[in-house]
Amino acid sequence: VTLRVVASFDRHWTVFWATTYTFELPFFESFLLPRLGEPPLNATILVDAKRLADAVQDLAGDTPWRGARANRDYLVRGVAPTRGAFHPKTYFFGNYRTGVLLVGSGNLTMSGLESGKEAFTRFDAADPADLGSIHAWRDWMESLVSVIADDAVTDRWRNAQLRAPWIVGRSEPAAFVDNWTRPILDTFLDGVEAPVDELHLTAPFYDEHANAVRTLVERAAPRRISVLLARDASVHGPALLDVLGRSGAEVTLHGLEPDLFVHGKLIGVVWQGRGRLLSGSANLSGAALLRAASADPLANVECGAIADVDPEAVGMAFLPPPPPPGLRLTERTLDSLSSLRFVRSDDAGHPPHLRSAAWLEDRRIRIDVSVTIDAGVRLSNGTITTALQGPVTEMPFADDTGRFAWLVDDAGRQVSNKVAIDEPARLQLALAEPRERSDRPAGVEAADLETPVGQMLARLHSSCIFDFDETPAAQRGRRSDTTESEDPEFWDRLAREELRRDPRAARYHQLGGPTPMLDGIFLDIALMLEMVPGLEGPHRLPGSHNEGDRSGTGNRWTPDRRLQVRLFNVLARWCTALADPRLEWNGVLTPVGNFAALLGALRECWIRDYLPEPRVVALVGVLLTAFVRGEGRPGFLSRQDDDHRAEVLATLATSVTPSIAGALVYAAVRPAQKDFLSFLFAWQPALTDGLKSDVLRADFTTASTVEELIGSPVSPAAIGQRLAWASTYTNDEHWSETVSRETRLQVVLTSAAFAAQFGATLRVGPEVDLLGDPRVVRIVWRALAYRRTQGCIVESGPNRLSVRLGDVVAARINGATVVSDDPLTAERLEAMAMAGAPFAELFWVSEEVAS
Amino acid sequence: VTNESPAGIGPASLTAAVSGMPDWLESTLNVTPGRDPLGFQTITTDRIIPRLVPGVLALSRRARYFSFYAFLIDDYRRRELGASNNSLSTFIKRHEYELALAVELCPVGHRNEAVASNGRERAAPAVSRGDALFARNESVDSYLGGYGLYYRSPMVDLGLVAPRGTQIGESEDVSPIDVLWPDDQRAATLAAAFRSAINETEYFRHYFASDRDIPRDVLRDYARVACLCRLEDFPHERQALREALLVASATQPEEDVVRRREAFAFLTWLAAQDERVVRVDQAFRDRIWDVHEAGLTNTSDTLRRTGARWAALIAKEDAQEGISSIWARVCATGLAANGSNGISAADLDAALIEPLVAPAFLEPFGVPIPIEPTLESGKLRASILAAAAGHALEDLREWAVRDGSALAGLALLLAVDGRVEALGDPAAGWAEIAAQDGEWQPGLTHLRLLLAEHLRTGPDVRTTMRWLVRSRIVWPHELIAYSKLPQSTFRFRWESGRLRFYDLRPERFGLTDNRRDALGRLGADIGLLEWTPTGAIPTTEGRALVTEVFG
Repeated sequence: VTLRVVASFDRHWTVFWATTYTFELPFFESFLLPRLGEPPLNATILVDAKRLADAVQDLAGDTPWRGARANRDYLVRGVAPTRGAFHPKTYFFGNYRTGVLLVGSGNLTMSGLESGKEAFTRFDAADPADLGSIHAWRDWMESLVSVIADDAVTDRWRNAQLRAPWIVGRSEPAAFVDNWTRPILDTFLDGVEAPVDELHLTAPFYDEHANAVRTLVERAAPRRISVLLARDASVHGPALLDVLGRSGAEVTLHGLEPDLFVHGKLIGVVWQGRGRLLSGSANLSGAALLRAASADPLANVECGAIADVDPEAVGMAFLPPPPPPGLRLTERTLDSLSSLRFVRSDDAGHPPHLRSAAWLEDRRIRIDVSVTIDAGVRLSNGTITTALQGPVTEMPFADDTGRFAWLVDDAGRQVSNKVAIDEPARLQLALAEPRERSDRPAGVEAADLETPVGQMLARLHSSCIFDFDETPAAQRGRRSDTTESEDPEFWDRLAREELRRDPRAARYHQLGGPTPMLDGIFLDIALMLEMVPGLEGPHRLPGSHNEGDRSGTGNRWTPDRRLQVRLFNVLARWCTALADPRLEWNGVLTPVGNFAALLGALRECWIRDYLPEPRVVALVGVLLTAFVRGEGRPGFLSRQDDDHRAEVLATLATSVTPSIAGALVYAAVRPAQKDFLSFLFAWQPALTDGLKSDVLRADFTTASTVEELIGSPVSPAAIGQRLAWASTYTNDEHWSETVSRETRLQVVLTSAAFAAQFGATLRVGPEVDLLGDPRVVRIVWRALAYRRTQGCIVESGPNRLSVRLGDVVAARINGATVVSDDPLTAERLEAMAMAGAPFAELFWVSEEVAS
Repeated sequence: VTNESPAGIGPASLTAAVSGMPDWLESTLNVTPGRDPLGFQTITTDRIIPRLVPGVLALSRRARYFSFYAFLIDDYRRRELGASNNSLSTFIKRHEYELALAVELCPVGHRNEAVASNGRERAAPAVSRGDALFARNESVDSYLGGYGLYYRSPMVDLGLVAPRGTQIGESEDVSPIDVLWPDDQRAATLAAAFRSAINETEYFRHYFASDRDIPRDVLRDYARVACLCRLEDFPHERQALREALLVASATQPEEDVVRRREAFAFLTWLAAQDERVVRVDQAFRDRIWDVHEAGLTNTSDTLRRTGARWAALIAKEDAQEGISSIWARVCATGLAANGSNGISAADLDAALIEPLVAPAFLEPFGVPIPIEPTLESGKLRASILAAAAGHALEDLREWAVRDGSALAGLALLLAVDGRVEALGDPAAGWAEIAAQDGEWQPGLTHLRLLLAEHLRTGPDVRTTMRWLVRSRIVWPHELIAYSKLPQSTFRFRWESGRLRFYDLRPERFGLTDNRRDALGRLGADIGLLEWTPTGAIPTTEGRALVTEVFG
């Protein structure tokens, strides 16, 4: 099993909290941070102070893009809780409902999260077995934040817990392990009874004298030791050889073919038929495994995960999967250990005494240092150097373009690490709720945004993806049309990737969970209540508010004609686009969210008179047929397979969306609406399916909404009856059109004067064979049902057919009259219609007549 | 024996379900050489070409597709099929596939030609299998098929198609689907012309609107009139295509039409002097530069201006070729110098720059130029200009590419700068193209200004090479490659203070498509050019266009 760590970087989250030993700012800022999306986002990264100093020092002056977002859009801090390495690699992603914690060996670098041989454990808050580990990580982080004592970090940690409040929970034994109060090895070996059967090891070591392995071997007393020794292990080979030799165990040494650097760290034991694995950040070194950070200043800060597994799983965990293809274990001789050498990590080029620097409002800079600084030390940003008065620069910086600051001595020589200067206002902005997007939907003019209509459209556009062709993804794809492509599918793939990055896409992912989310996120209930002060909730009984509330006092704002046109066009485009299958690239519930949002908008347009009623009604029709289905064309719902359809309907079932839909449809087809026949038949496929699947509902919320729309109360039962009637109503003209289309005969219901028992009279095309064409049977059968009569006359040119249930069938064909041998019953007629039989079956002489 | 571990997690029978079980990391990166590693080619593709040849993409190169798609869009509307581009997409892709089958079956025989039919990848194997009946299929998976990929944008630019979402006429409604502009007779004429061509075929009468498998003979008969090569049999359609590409209309910017006419006329004018320009890129570039440098375009203002624009493109591309040579050597040298483990910033000059400027002889056109790292760059410039005097710039470019060294690349860059300087004051039209900058790289004018500023201090070759590598290669590439993730196109990257190199080929990036091929094929399709074994020559209509445009 493998884990795509980068896949966790997406727009679901409002908190990203990381600890790492090394950090690549360009990789994070160019690739990972954009995947985390727009504000609100609390992205905070704690890095080993020395390694961060190296990373920032390496950012050359001619590459200003590197590190440009540090301490502006996210906070990065070099930390040193002990004199050892700050070495934990943990990545927490959270939002108000859920979260994921990754604990492993990979640093926040491209190698650590993408290309290296790293091992990670994933804890998912939705899994009760994992939640305890996230709580344990939270407790560990609480301790760390307390020791780090950095105001910005503390504030953001508090903010993170507000954004993901579930993270605070009861601490209980969990797979997550750290060395804050107890050495990791102690925790790992708890309950393990020596001698163990097997001990498995792999890590880059970083142990000068192999002391950690020595201690491990002494305490576990293994009968067999298996070591995976990959390229560039850093350990004193003879010392390791000595430890393994003295253990008395059967030692097996493996390498990899091809030989690769493996950064993953694993320790496994098998004893008494049980297995246990330790993974995480801890190398096979004393500072990592044998010391507790809160008590021992030489300890590293480490953490990891312990899993109790089947014995067979222990050994299997040590083989990294490809790439490269064909990667395999090879056996090595113990002699190969003797050539290994310990390579000490470089110290930072400059001591990381400068913990942070932050702009003050008066453009001076406040610094935080970990040591007492000498008099004469000044602060520089590369272009300006200023003296310090305590922790604050004496003078404001005239040039605030420098992104980094560091301490210099009298001679201007750099004497501290560099830090990215905090921009508190911008950092705060990153935590804030999203501002309204400045980009406006296509078809809306800038001045429109000053109007209520424009604001409504901008609000919708900033939160929903209505028209795929309007998304940056599609636009970028279109722009890219001007370049050559040898891969025709590339643009679609690119568009999907871009769509995934659209900041609005994440909102849709909140649908479909156990908690009903459609209302409140897409159907803005709060706004609906605000619009209608008398409406206290979606289940208010109809007729319970004062009619006068709706009109209010003063002059109601109404858009001018041209704005109405633009509003109508934009909404029409969005409603039509609901059936665009590409929207479903973002998940099958995306059109559902749009349906809810657009219903809310149409309701608002109706109530606030943004559009004339017929225009709103037209849009209701467009929306409904795009969502359900139209005459002869599929809608979003009709395209779904059973599983997706069930998912969609389950989401709608917990929402008032169907009630709003039912209300708008009712208002459109209400008895007082004289023009409804102009659109009713086009709506009917959607009405029929919509009622059947509960996309349209008639309940108290429907009734409340209807009252707001038309200004008079109607009971839910009356609404339901009207909707049912509207879904099946037909008239002669429509009946004729429908039957003509379906049978491909020209069928017209006429009002020819025949005996009263013939309640239906029809004319079909002049060439139709009344006795030989089976379609005539079906037409008659349907005409009798439609007219609720027993008798029917069908004329075709000079020929005529008379059908009366319970009587014989008579026909005058080419001047000759024939009569059936037996009376025709309703049952026989239905059977013939179903079987596709012609009326000729009733006549012995049919062939002669037909000829 | 207790079943409880100290961590409180009991042994599990299914390892996958154990909390705390580690997994090995899986990469999401797609390692690929990618395109345009330094961001120079995009200047040509996205900034320059749309000014030189608006409405013509590299792969929109068969004129008959313009009438074919006009016909499909028109026919779709006539049949009143679903008013959405999704349905239109399916409709187009099916008929694209059928046309691709027909092209493969064309009696003229195109199997060994680059006929550029949309859907050929699927159609060709079906035809090769020798099937007697062809099941229905779609040309490609992509939305709107080859129309969407290569022809929709040009047809919109040409004012033939009103894309979905366009407000048409006085109506308040926007079109939910691509339609032909109702007010533009050119689009209707194109559609009618193609319809007329295929109207009597068995394919159109009995198979076009059905789902039945199509017999081979029916498609072969369809190819007889519908193949991309058959335009000469339909002069009215050809005339309609010429008008669509070259005649102004209310539905497209007038300036676009002017530029397009100039582009076709310029190619035709060049072809009259050297028929190879239509088929051979080197000849095309050579003639463009040569006629401009020699002042052969001075016969009219329009020709002079047009020639200057195209010459500026050639100069930009040649300068880019010099940088491409340096880039290729940087990649190779970095890799060779322990690049996979990285080169520290302190070692960068020694490990990367010094090998690029190691003492060497360049021999352009047989003239030896000895180069030491300490040679003043200005002297190298003078030497290369002297050696190349009287030689075509295209020949110099070919020499530098063939030599392949970073020094030859630097020499080419300096020579291009010198040859442009020798032109004197820029002709009208030149500045518009030369001033086009990219997102990450300067255009020709800006690059020359930077170079002049650098040379003003009298640097030596080592200093100039270091300046170029740092400013135009190392940091732009890293920035561009980061912007392309998760496509991993890094040839090198700073990691923990070391510049680490990746072995991705090809190292060199080439010249950018200059639309010669598209212009040539379209020009021949619409009767401006006539193919010859070695190129193409102007037809009577082609010569008439040249006269109309350039006088």
